[in-house]
Amino acid sequence: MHNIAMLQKELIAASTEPLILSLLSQGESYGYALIQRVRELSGDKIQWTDGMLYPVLHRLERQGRIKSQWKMAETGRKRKYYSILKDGRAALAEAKEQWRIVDDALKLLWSAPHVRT
Amino acid sequence: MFELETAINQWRRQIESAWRRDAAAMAELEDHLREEFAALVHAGHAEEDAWRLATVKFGDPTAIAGELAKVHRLSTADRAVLVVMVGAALSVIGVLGWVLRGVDSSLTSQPLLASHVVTITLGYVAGLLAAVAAAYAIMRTLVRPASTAALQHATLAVVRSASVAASGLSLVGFVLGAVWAQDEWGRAFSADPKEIGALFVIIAFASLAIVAWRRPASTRMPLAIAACGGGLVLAAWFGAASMTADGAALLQAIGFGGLALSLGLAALALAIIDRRCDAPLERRAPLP
Repeated sequence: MHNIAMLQKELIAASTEPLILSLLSQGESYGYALIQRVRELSGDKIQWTDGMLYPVLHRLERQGRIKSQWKMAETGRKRKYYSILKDGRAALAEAKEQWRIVDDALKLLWSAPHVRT
Repeated sequence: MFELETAINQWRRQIESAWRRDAAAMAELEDHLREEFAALVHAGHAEEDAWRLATVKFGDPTAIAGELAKVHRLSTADRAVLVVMVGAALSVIGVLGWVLRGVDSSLTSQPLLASHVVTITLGYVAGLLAAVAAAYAIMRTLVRPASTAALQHATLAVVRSASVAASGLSLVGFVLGAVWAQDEWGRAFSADPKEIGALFVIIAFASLAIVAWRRPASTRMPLAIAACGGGLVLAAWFGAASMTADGAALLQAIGFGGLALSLGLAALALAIIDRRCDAPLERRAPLP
C-alpha cells in the first residue's frame, strides 16, 4: 500500500467496495480505469496497490453485486468490463447510509470543538 | 535490450506459480500491466524503467495470486457434491459388478465376455459421472449465476479425466466385445443397437476429451457436451438393452437407469441444500 495521505489501512479497506460500486453505478468500467478515476477523485491521496483491486472485483462478482463482460478495447486486445447489478446497487445504498451516519456524527463533533465529552 | 513480451512471460510465471486456474483472470491482469506500461512510456519513461515502475505499482504477484486463489476457492458444499458423485459412481460399479456376477453365471465362465462387460461398464459409468457433474454445474449456474466460476473449473477437471476414461474404456470394451462376437458368432460387428450406441459414446467422449484438454477459456462448451454425452450413454445402454430381450442386457439397463436416477437425485438434493446453506461470502476485503 502506497499512500500519500497515510490513510489507515482499515479505512482504505472499508472504502474500497463503496468506491468501486459508486464508480460502476455511473457506468461500466474496467480495472485500470477504476484505479485512475479513484486517484483523480482523491487528488492522488488514495493510491491502491493496483493488482489487489482484482481480487476485490472478483469477489464482488462472485457475490452477484457486479457482472463482467469481455469486449474489444481500442488497443485491439480483449478487455474485461464490469457493470453493477441490482444487488450491487442495494449494497451501495446500504454503504452510503452507513458512511453518512459516521460522517454526520464526526461533523457534529468537529463543528463544536469546545463541547466536552 | 528490453523485450516486453519476455518480461510479461516472466511476470506471468510468477503469478502462475502461486495460482493457475483461470486463463481469463490472467488475461485481465496482463491487460492492466500493458496499459500501465504504455501510459508510463507515453509519459516519457524508458521502456525498462516503465516496466519496473508498472510492476511495482501492480504489487507482489504472489500476494495477488494468493488473494485470487482465496476468492476462487471451491465452496465446501460444491466439494461435497463432487465427492459424493465420484463416491456414488464407484459404489454403483461395485454393486453392479456384484449383482452381475451373482445373477449371470455365463459371465464367470467366459472371461472374454466378462472383461467386455466390466470394461464397457466402467467406461459408461465414467461417461455418466462426467455428465452428472456437468449437469450439476450447469444447474447451479442457472439457479445462481454468481459464484460458479470455481465450480465450473473443478467440474471441467472431473469432466477431463472422466471423458478420457469413458472413451478409452468404452473403446477397449467395444474391441473385446468384437473379439468375443467373432469367436462366438463368426462376425465381429453386426451393427446392432448396442454396438452402434457404443460407437456413438466412444466418438462423443473422445471429442469431449479433446475439447476439455485444450483448457478452454469458457467452460460452457465442454460442460454442455458432457451433459449431452450422458444422454447418449443412457440411450446406448438403456435404449439398446431394452430393445433386445436379453436378461443380462435388461439387468444392465435397470442398473444404469437406477444409477442415473440416483446420481441425478443426489445432485439435485445437494444443489438445493447448497443453495439454502451456502453462506454469502462476507469475508473482510483484502487491501487494494
